[in-house]
Amino acid sequence: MRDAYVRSVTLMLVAVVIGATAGLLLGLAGGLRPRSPFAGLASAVSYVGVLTPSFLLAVLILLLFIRYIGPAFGERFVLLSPEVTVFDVRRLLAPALVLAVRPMAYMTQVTIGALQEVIYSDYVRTARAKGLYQRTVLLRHILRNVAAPALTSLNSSFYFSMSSLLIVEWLFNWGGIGTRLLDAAADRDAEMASYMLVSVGITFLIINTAVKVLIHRFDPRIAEAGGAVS
Amino acid sequence: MPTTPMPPASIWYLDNGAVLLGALAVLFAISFTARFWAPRLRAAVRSGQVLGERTRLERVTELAVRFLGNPALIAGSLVTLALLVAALWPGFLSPYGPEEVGRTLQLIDGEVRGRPFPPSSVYPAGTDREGRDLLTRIIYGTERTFVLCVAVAVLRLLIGGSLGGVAGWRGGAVGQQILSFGTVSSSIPSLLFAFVFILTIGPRLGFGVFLLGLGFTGWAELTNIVHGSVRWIRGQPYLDAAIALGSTPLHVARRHLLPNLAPQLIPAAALELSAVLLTLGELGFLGLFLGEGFFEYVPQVVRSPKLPEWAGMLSGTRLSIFNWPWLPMAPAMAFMVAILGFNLLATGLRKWLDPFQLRGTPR
Repeated sequence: MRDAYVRSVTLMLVAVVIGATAGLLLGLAGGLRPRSPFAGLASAVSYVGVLTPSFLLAVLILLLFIRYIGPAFGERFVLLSPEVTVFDVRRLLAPALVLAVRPMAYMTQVTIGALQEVIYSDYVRTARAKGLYQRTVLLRHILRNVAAPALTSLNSSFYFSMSSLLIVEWLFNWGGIGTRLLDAAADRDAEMASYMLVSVGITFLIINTAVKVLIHRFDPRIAEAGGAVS
Repeated sequence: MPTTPMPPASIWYLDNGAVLLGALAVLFAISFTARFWAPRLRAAVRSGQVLGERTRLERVTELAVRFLGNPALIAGSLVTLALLVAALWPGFLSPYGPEEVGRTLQLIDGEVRGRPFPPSSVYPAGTDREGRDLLTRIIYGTERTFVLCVAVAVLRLLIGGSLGGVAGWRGGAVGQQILSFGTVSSSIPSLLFAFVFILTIGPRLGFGVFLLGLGFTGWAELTNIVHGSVRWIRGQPYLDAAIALGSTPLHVARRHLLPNLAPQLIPAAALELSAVLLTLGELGFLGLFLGEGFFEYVPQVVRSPKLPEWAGMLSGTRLSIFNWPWLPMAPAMAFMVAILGFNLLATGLRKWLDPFQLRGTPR
């Protein structure tokens, strides 16, 4: 039980960290030059990426790993065998990638949207006019204002990952909460199933609160407003 | 070679794919260049009047410009239209019958193949293990999938809309309670809740179980939207004026609340459709689907749902990925296209219904 929980949380954290980092970078690359073709491409891809069903994505990535990445790296990718330890990168990578796509796309969308307001704002123009270094403007004026919406999107990212957990864990044979839930459901073990449901809910509420606290650190203005899940 | 020749009328769109794609490309080219031609068209039909009613030509042009200049709306409504046609007249689109089985061995693209046949010119999306055409089954399955999907979305709208309306109108402690209830209900992903609910009650009971299992969660977002809008409308002076004039609650709701809520609720409903569809697909992938739904995920039993339904076609295809990737891919792509279509429809409708959009000619 504890083992399953740790496995699931590990998978989710790795996925969200990969997704959020990549999404932030992509969003910054697209949003800082909003007229470039790359920005259009990034927003189109992220629009599609947010709403790709997890099962389609999982099947695609599994195929990719089995057909191309597995043979290219020899037998170094173990995908479906249950006898590997938790923190094995060879196992972790494929499911984490599946779970990372939606956070990444969502983060890209949010970052591009936030940058659109920020980079044309008066304070950024003033900062540039003062002759500050480009790096200073980026770090002190732009990034600090993008941080709050980007962090808020983390909430939804965790939510996305949690709802895809069942599919991904099942497809990749990852013994976490989702697999336990399926086992419990197959055995008609309602007690176990509801434990799993409640544990997922509580985890989500904890993450939600933590993210809210973090947002408050970055932007005290929006501490009180806003619903939990967007 | 299939046992029966394809009906010539319904296969027209497959043979004339290039024509259709060309027409679509022209349509979207027009749509994406609206920035250049729309002001000129408006200027051309503008009547000399500065004040007063716009002429009929002007109004029609305005509508056309707003539709054609909105690629998301065009794409979304095309997909929705196609799904509607597939749901109402499946025989019009599908190349074969839903239960039609081809020969055991067929010559496909110069190679003798056994069942299941891969995607080819004979079978546009491949066949399942029994040799039934997947595209046909997708088209015939649209109806069952979408009736459920629309019913769930309506249920969610009813729950979310009424709770949000009460929370926004009453405000105060009641509103806070309702909102936090929504937050709690949304903390469990709707897929997990629906999975446990349907499995516990019993998927064999059919439509009602799926309706309740999917409809009981997922409305929190709608509640938030409606709550926000109602709160905002409540604070407007015209509402105070209407109440001071002695309007009945019904009149207020019909004349003031609904018209102001509609621009937000209609796109939200389209988004809700896509969210329900996604959950439905995920449930199907796990082996729970409407019809002869049953659940056996540990032993991989080779079976196929009798009644065509998208989620049912997706079930039990987990291990087919390695040998016959088109078995899960065909229904998954159908889900993807439908979800994308509904989202585009929502995006387009939001722009179309935006009350703050620039109307008419600049004065």
